[in-house]
Amino acid sequence: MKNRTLTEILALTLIIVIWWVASLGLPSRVLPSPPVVLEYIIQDFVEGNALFHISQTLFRIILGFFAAMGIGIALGVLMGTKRFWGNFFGTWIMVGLSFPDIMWPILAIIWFGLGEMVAFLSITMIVMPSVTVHIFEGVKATDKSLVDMAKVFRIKKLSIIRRVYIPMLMPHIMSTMRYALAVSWKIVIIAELFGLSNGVGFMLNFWYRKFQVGQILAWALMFIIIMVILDKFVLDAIEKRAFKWRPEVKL
Amino acid sequence: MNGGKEKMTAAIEVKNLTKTFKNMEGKTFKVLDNISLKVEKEEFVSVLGPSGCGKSTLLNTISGLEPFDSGVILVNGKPVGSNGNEARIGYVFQNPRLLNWMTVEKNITYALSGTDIPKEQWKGIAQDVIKIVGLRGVENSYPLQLSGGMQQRVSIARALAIKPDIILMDEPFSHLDEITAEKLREELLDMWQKTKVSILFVTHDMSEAVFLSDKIYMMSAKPTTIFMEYRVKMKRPRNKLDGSLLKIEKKLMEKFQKKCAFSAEGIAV
Amino acid sequence: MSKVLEKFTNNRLAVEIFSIAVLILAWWVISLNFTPRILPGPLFVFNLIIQDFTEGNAAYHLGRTLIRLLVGFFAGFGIGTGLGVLTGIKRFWGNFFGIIVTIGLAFPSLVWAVLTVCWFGVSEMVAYIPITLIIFPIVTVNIREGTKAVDKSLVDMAKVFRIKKLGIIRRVYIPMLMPYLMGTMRFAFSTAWKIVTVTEIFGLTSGVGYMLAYWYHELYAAQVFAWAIIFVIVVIFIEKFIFVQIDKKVFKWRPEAKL
Repeated sequence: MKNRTLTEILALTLIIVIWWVASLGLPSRVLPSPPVVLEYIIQDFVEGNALFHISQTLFRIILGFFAAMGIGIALGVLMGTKRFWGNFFGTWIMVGLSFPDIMWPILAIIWFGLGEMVAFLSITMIVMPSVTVHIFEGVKATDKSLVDMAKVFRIKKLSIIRRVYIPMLMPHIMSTMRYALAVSWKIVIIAELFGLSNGVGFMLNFWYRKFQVGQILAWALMFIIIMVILDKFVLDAIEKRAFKWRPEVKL
Repeated sequence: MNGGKEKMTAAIEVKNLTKTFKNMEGKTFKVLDNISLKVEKEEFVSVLGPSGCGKSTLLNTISGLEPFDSGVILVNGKPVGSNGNEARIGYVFQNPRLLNWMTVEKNITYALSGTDIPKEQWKGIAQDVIKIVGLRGVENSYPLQLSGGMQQRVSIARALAIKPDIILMDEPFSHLDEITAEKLREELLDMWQKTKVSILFVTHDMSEAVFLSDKIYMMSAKPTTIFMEYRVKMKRPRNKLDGSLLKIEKKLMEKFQKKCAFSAEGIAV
Repeated sequence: MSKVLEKFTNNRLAVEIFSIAVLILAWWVISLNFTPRILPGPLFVFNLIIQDFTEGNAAYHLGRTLIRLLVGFFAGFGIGTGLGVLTGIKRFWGNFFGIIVTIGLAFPSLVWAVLTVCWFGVSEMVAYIPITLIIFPIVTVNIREGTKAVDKSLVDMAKVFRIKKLGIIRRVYIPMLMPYLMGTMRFAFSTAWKIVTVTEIFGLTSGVGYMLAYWYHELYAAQVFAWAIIFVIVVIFIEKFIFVQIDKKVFKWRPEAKL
């Protein structure tokens, strides 16, 4: 709706204005103004190798994200369909969800040293339990009647899972994907800060050690913009394709 | 030609079917109590009973979806076990139960994937049944783009497509408006006479049962048994407004009311 | 024999206990191949935990983390609820804050912690600010959904019976919001837990996060395990006992959902 985008633009503009005004009253090393930060961003792309760092981070996110989604969906479906596994893995998941986030990067470094494992292990071990729980809840909430219908028509179990269960779960899978992506982003930053020598998290740490608020803000902004792009364009596009059979819901 | 009639295997034969259920407190009660019925080949048979008396459960046990405790269920002479039933069973539910993410045609071919009919024939069969139910042109639409009546027709087409030995129908028109339902009833009779399939039709609607069936089994609730069998001897095609139909309905209604005080509740006339 | 097996697999508590036992057993077996520095066994860690409480000052660190958590949590929850109701009622504010909330959700806690140190130096603010800033958008979004979902017909009913506005808010609105409030509270709490330890590695000298970082620098996995488990036990305790009890009291009018 036109009004909505207008209000959103208004809100964004307001934030930038407040930021700008605040920055005028503070020294540049405490809060640089928007144009200064913008300059930093351009600098980082042109002279620095922002593209390299960002692509490294994206690569790690994608790896961990797919691993977490894959295992999480499989486990969630298993837990949702067989009560025994639901109860059995339920406790493991509960424990897994309770671990402090920084435990995994730390353990990964102690076990595997600095390197890609830190990011991969951390993202997978932290995101996977959440995915499992979401999918588990989704499976429990699915309507048995369609599955019964397929059973009466003597459709094989594997086909039922592939062509009835999973499509029924799609709305759930979509929302889980959004959540998983958001969390993967946060974790990869922590992992890179601890245990890697490139990437967005590493750069954040680099500028933090130099107390360069301007650069910190620059990298944070780049990070957010890419996240928004991923969410709005990639995920939304996937959602449109996956649900093309749904009639438009007019708001 | 032989003199005597050949004894043909019944399409469906149910003998002394009993199903019990244990509730949360551990008490057992009978969901189906010593039920026997028979559907001969090419017959249209209805089970008429008030809502909630176990009619759906009966269909579920016949189709193999639910287990039962004692008795015999034979489809085409072969027993129903959880894996052992080779007869092809088409089922039309109260709700269309279509896969909304597949087109009409894909919904039908998906049912065919559960049979051993070769894949090359699927598209042709789907188009045939779509034509029979009067939905030509809609093959590539998605279920949510169709009206309730059209969706139910797809469901019927799907049941017909697998070339079933029997079709089970669970109050398929009860969720539709009366005008659409009436139309579909006539079309159903048309299809039935064309394809000569055997149908077991479950309903709580007295006039629907009398209009459609060769034979009606009357079911009561608590205990859930079949207490009467009635042959509707009227010739087809039947006219809904025919006085003799109404007479039959009245007679059956009286039988229900005699059976138990509350049983008339839930039977629509 | 198979009857017994069937009873076992259907008994929830039995399976849960069994699964914890398997977990600890698997852990123990794997740990036999490694030294405590790398992968300690359950007994070793258990002893270490007791040591941390009796000889070390685990209670102190745990307490500091809890205080930071509670301060940040209540601040974030308070702001979030207020904003949530406001944005739920007036659509303009909903859209206005909507985009702010989206950005707030995208900001990693790390960046907030880092910026807080740059701005305020090393102080308790390093914990309070990130928690508040991260929680309040989540709470706002959830409470907003709850407010929008409030059944207008009940509110209208109260109006017809001429009940005063304050009475409506207290006796109709708030109870209707309760499920959302409770659900959001649990989620916000668990999020706050995850954040507080991350912030504690930035210059603070106490707390569970600080201890985890300390032992990381010593490359001593056994203590990392020990502190992680202390953390887990506290979290599970709060989740299972405190929240479940609150749930029971708040929702005693709801019939038990039988599975």
